[in-house]
Amino acid sequence: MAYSKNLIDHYENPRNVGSMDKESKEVGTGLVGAPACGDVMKLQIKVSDSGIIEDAKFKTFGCGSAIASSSLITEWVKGKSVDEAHSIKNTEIANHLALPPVKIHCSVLAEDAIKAAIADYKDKNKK
Amino acid sequence: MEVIIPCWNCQTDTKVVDFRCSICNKIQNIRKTNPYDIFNLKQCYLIDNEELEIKYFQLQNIFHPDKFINSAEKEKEISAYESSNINNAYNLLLNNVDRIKILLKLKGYKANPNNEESFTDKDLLEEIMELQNRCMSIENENEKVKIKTEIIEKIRIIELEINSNFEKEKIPEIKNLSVKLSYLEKIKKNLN
Repeated sequence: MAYSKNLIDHYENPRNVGSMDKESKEVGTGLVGAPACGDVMKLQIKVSDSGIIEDAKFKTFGCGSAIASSSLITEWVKGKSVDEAHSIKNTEIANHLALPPVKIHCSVLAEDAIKAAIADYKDKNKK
Repeated sequence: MEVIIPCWNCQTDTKVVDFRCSICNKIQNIRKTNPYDIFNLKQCYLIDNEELEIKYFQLQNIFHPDKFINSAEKEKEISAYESSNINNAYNLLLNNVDRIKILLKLKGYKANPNNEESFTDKDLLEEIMELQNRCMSIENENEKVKIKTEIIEKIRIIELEINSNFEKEKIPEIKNLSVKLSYLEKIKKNLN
């Protein structure tokens, strides 16, 4: 079985690797893991006053599919509103990267990570 | 070890000594369904690896297919089945994460109800990420040995905690510790 071009591209040239100040009010941090395979994924978003995601960063320890899934989702959420980002489904990630069935959970992890980051951002900015 | 079971060859209840029928001397199935019973071990989380190894060799010495090259088909079949059964059970018991699942099941608990869901305990994930960050920036052999020693010590402490929680039947605690243990084992493996 061969991995798709998209997947290999994101794995070899991951976008938006890094981290932001998790204490900042503009930054939402999502930290999720899949203990069964030992993956840990940290995804951060920086949100503007108007609710647009200006920047996104990730750091993932895990397999190639987990790294590619988190890299892809950081690219997708940039420029989107928080609500739009919240509606991204793991199946879209899985399709874009042509993840094999045993790696679907990596895309689930990415979806959960962005949702957790948004929840953290909203929690920090509760009125 | 002596038990009375029906022999597949004699078709009668016979005494079985060391897995052989005392009348016709044919090899018999182990007839044990869980790894602890196969090796006749007490159902505790912490096990004596040396004792397990000795029992493993004793059993393979009885069942290994090499010993049945000139035997009847049925004996070959039993030997092939049981020796692979013994290997599986041995590897499961050697694995400190698998052993949790086996014991939970034996005690009537579901092993991992949320296996498919993402794990979200922030403190634990941060600790693991921190550890992984350190592993990524290892520069020399000394540092690697130091981190590895640290991880092995963490694992040893968790194993003790799991053992005492099993004794007290504190199941939710065991499940959290088992997550931490699988992460640490994974990091340790990647360090090799």
